[in-house]
Amino acid sequence: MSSLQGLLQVSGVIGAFVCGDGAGLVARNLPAVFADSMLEEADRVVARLGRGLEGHGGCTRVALAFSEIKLFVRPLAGARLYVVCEPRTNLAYLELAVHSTVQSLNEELAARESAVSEDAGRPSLVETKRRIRELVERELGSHATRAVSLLDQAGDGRAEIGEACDRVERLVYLFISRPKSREMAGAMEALLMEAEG
Amino acid sequence: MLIYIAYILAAAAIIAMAAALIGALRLRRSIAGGEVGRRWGLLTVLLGVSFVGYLASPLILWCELGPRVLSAVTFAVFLGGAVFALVVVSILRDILPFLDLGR
Repeated sequence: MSSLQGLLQVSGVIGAFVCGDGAGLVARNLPAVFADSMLEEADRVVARLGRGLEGHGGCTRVALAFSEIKLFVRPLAGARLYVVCEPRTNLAYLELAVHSTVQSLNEELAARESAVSEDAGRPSLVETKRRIRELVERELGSHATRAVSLLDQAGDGRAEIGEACDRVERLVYLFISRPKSREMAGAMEALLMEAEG
Repeated sequence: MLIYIAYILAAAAIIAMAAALIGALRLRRSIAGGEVGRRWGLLTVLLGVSFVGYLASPLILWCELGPRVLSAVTFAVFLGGAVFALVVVSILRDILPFLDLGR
């Protein structure tokens, strides 16, 4: 989601991600050190917390302070926006930035949802990117860090994911082996084809 | 006097080449494989061959071989150096796109 990029302009913001109701991680713009599973687990905890607060008037935003980071949570239409930032971040200023981003995020979520319903049964590009990421982690094991970061840096568009896959293939060719790069290129291409239908 | 300078230079070259060879062998363990690993293997072989040549270089002086032999050996070293430089440049060209250099 391109709107997430704008939040990185706020001083102290490390990254942001969006989790949908029952859809898990929808979009992310965070360093690779934050694993998808970790983000989804955080979302489950916050969703539970949110349900607990519903009986007490609910809440429109939550800021959780940990020793090394702050997690700012803002509900969206059928999803939640999480902003990961440094403890010294000015939350009032961050809230202003989030407020101006919420509208465009909701529009992107709605567009995504309509695209998903049009392509029912076909995985979305975000889902495909996640599958490719899992494939890379599974195939490369301890050597996956650089390849995963190439995928994370790429946008969610078809061309950007395709370009990231080409770079991952080249990386594997250069540093692992040629047969492995061909095998992975085939698997990544198959996943992309599946998303295109 | 010049002959002693030549021996000292040969000794310095042998020490430097030995250090380069040890460095290349140690780095080899950090390279998992792939095309870069293959080319690094070629570099290591070139370094090994050069090291053997460097070790033998004082013999050229000791045996007082003629200028033609000296020229042939010199140009062989030039060729080895050029191939070495080509391989280094090709490795750098391939890996630079994967380094975050802020561009």
